[in-house]
Amino acid sequence: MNDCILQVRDLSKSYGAVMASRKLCFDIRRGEVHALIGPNGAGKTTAVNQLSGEILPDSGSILFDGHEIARMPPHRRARLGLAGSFQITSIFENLTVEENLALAIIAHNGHNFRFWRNCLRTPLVRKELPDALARIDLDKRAGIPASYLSHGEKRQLEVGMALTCKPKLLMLDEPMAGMGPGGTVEMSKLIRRLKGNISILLVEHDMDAVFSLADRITVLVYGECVAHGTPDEIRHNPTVRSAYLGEG
Amino acid sequence: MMRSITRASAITVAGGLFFAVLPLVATSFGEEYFISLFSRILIYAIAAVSLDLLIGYGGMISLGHAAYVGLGAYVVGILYQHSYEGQPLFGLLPGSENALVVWPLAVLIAAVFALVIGSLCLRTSGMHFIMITLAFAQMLYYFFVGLEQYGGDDGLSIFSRNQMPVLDLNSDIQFYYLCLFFLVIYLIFVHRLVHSRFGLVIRGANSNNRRIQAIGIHSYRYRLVCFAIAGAGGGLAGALLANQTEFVSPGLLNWTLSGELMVMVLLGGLGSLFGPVLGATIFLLLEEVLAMYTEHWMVYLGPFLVIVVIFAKHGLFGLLAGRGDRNE
Repeated sequence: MNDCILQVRDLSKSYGAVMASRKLCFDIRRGEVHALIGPNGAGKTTAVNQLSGEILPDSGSILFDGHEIARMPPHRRARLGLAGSFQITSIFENLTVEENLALAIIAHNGHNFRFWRNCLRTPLVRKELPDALARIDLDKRAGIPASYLSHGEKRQLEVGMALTCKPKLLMLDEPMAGMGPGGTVEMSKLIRRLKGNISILLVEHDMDAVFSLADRITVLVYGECVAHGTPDEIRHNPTVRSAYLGEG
Repeated sequence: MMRSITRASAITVAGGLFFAVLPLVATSFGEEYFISLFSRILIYAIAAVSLDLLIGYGGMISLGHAAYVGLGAYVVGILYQHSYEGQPLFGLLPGSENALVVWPLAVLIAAVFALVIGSLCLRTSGMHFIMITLAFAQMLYYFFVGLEQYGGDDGLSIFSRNQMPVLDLNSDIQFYYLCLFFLVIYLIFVHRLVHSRFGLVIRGANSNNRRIQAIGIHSYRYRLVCFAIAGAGGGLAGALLANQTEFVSPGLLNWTLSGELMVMVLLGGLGSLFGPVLGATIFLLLEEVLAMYTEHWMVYLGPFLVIVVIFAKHGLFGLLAGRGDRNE
């Protein structure tokens, strides 16, 4: 249809007197890594949650792959191919690593009113599980409860779950948050591997990671888009420098 | 890990053997009384396992599970009364004493009630869910208290157990083995269930309902069906209990029974399947023994429960089996 997977137009959301999103407009092109940056409280997470459907906007439109999704419930957006990882790690702690991935695999394949057969032994899960485990380098940890994983591994698992849904757009809300240097490197490697195959919306505080991974960047300040552009353009944009990068 | 799995299965096999030979031993020692006591234990175990499916695996803390036990029992009682008096129910349906008709009906009616009640309760969560399940159960309790036609407060006596081809249910031994059969079938069913696709969704929703929605699963209907399956288990236990005690009263729907079932699940171990069987056994045996000394036997049960909950996170079954089951 066009070369944009996601088009956000005039998206607004306020909490009382606070405008968390003011007429946001931005596009994400197919296959690009698009970063959303901004100082604390700029409304990045509010914006992402409106995309995923956790929060409904007051007004505005979100066009995803030709569908208007601004008022759609989260599980239907997920079925259209919008997948996300959360700012706070969000996996199924009481299930094992392979059960977590299996759950993500079966989510997009028909109904789950199947009461008898062990889920891990169904043909579908047997076919897709090895790849899903290998993709995030957790093959060796398959059988242990997710609650035993390190923080970095949990984030990897989370991204791995989002990927089993074969999403058209993957939203990563601060995937590096709380990680040591090793974890950050692992996550950057994972994102670089995915680049080009799917579109990614990256919300991240780690500026080195953002400028090295992103194709284009949108800058939010006080709920408003103040700049769009390539990493180079953003780096040299005077508004951004004064508002965000702490200069001027 | 392997070792604790072996330990859990060893305990399960030992428990199975114990229940299998119990009537033979009891008869040879001339203590037939134990057969009826243990029939009761098996029946409560079915109800406790169904509650464990709800609480331990589904995270749906229902404080109204007795409602389904009571409904199942009343189906048996009411149909028996109509059959006994020869008067059709609502002037249309004849009563029945045939177990093959009455018991499936008891299970079905409990499941349908669970479906309706669950459809409302599952729109809430946390404390509200606990309270609203309790409220519905108490509504049914007072409904049966006020139902003078079927004995009201006094309950309803059943003069003879339901009939079944081949088996004679009035024989305590045959009835015992039938209860054991139902418990084993229900355990196998729930065990398969929690590892199936359906079970994975249920356990996932328990752990992180928001995430389940985000990966595209509308968890509400799965949890509702789970609620109904647990209700059906309660109904089965109720139908058996009515036959075992040959008596039905509103007390079976009261919150005290819901609380007792929850204590059995906690004692045995949440989310462990065999735990609730152990929990029901210990609870009813303690009641039996302590009640000989004092009618205030709960005074001793209370501290015991506190100790178990504090020192054995996975209940008595978890204590015996080590970390056998991964579901917390």
